[in-house]
Amino acid sequence: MTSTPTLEALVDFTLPPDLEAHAPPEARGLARDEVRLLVSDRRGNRMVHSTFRDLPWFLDPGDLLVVNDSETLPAALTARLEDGREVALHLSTRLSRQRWIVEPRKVALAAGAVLALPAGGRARLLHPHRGSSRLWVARLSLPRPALSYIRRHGRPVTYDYLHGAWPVETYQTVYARPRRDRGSAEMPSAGRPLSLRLLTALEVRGVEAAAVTLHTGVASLESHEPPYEEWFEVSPEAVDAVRAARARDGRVVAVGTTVVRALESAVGEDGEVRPARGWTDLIITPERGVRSVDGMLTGFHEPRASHLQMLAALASPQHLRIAYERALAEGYLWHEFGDMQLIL
Amino acid sequence: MTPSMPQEVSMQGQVVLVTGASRGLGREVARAFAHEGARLVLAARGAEGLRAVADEFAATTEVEAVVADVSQEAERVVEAAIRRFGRVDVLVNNASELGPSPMPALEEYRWQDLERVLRVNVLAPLHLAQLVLPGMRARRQGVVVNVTSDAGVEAYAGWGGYGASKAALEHLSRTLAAELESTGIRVFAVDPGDMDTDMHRLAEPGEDLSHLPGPEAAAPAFPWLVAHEDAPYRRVLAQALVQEQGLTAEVRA
Repeated sequence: MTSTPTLEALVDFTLPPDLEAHAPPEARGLARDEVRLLVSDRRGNRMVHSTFRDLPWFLDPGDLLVVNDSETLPAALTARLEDGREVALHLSTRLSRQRWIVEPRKVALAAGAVLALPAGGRARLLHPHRGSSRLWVARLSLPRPALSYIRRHGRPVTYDYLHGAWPVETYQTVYARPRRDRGSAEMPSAGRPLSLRLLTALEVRGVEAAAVTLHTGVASLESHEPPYEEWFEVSPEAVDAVRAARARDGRVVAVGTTVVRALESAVGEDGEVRPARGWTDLIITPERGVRSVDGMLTGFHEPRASHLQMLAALASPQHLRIAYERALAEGYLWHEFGDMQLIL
Repeated sequence: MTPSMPQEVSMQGQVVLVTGASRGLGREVARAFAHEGARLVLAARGAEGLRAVADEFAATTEVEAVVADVSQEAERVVEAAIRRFGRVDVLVNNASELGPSPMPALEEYRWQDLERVLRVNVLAPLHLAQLVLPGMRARRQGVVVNVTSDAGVEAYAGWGGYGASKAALEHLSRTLAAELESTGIRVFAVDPGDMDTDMHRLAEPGEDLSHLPGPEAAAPAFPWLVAHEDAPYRRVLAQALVQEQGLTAEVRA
């Protein structure tokens, strides 16, 4: 039996620095919906280079776009260690009223460490999260309800490739729905280019839309890292929309990896999507496959990111290899403010 | 930020959509763009003529052929273009409807016939432009070329229906250009001049047109404008431009 090459062997590259989106497209003189769009046909391996604004032409009347309506929180706080050093603390996931999954950035800390937060808030590190080397479970004591505290004192989570600090509005999708209790630590970025104008154009085209919710944690996992849980909800209305699309032979197109994770987490024994809510730590791999979606919109991901496993579950690893070779050759931009891929 | 206009734009790989491409001026315009390395989307109503033209140009460049009536199926044309090539860089609104032949005086023009003329010559070009402009705006470049006629400026007896449609098209062209100021998108109205074409024979049945040049005499003006003219709007007499610039017409095979 011949062994098939692994995804990591097929899609392996070093991202050139000039293909990193260092700022939102607006800083490059583009509107949200003016980023580039690589359309890849996973059956024929055909690639078309287009513009996100022309997305409606690649979808058919009756197709269904499913978005993630989670609000992006300014989840990075400035924290002071007991020795006076300032570090960034990223609040990833709210587990219970006071317990959060957190990531202290660029610092090695031990259990029991106490971090002083703005306006008298405090975070005590309890234990590493599921054996992670960078994620901790912490107990937070805050002077006001967590989300209003975060919205007041936090700033968006950023990484070194990003130049400049952008307000949280820069990260919000146009359809984000703020909740009282939870939000996303990182932008569900595939939906960012969906401008109101483009949503109208999609509606005129006869493309339907539905929303699910998945509150993202920090930092997409690398494939060697253990998964952690995220809270999701697939409403009865979303399930009806998916079933109706299927019934009319429309395609279900997920806007982002978070939507695939939510929908797949809601697939029942019978293989059908059903209403569901709760925690999911589902990791989607080519071996597992996907049943709930026929296509997806997504950004470009770094090599070894677990997101690539999900993309390879929808397309094939070989297809992904071809698409990424084209994207690298044509100078598509990576990361959350970069260009987009539509896999159909 | 005002995008700077290119001094000279290469046609290589650009996606050019030509309507009414199965014969006459449309076919020669498509040939001229193919000669410069552009990729073609050709639309026409006649399946047979279109297939022949598409097959011929496929030896030179990538061609997507769409059998369609642009006055009814503009969306389908643009959908085919974008699905194949991801973009439309140049839209040439060439497809035109002359109206009844012989051409009636306005006094007895059937309004149903006039409606057809206006649909094809005015509404379809605007509709196609509306469909390709969002992508052009996003890329900060693009060209819309509307084929017009001196009948849109002068009042010739018998040419009232066609002339009114071309006058309207020219006004749409100028207004579009005003609305697209500093987007990097250019709009041209091109009057090809008198030519020996099927349409001209319908317009003046029984006339000997053999002294007139063929459409290949006007066609080189189209890629030249796209490559060299950086004004946001210009109305051009194609044959005069070809002579002025010393452009050589592609000789028909």
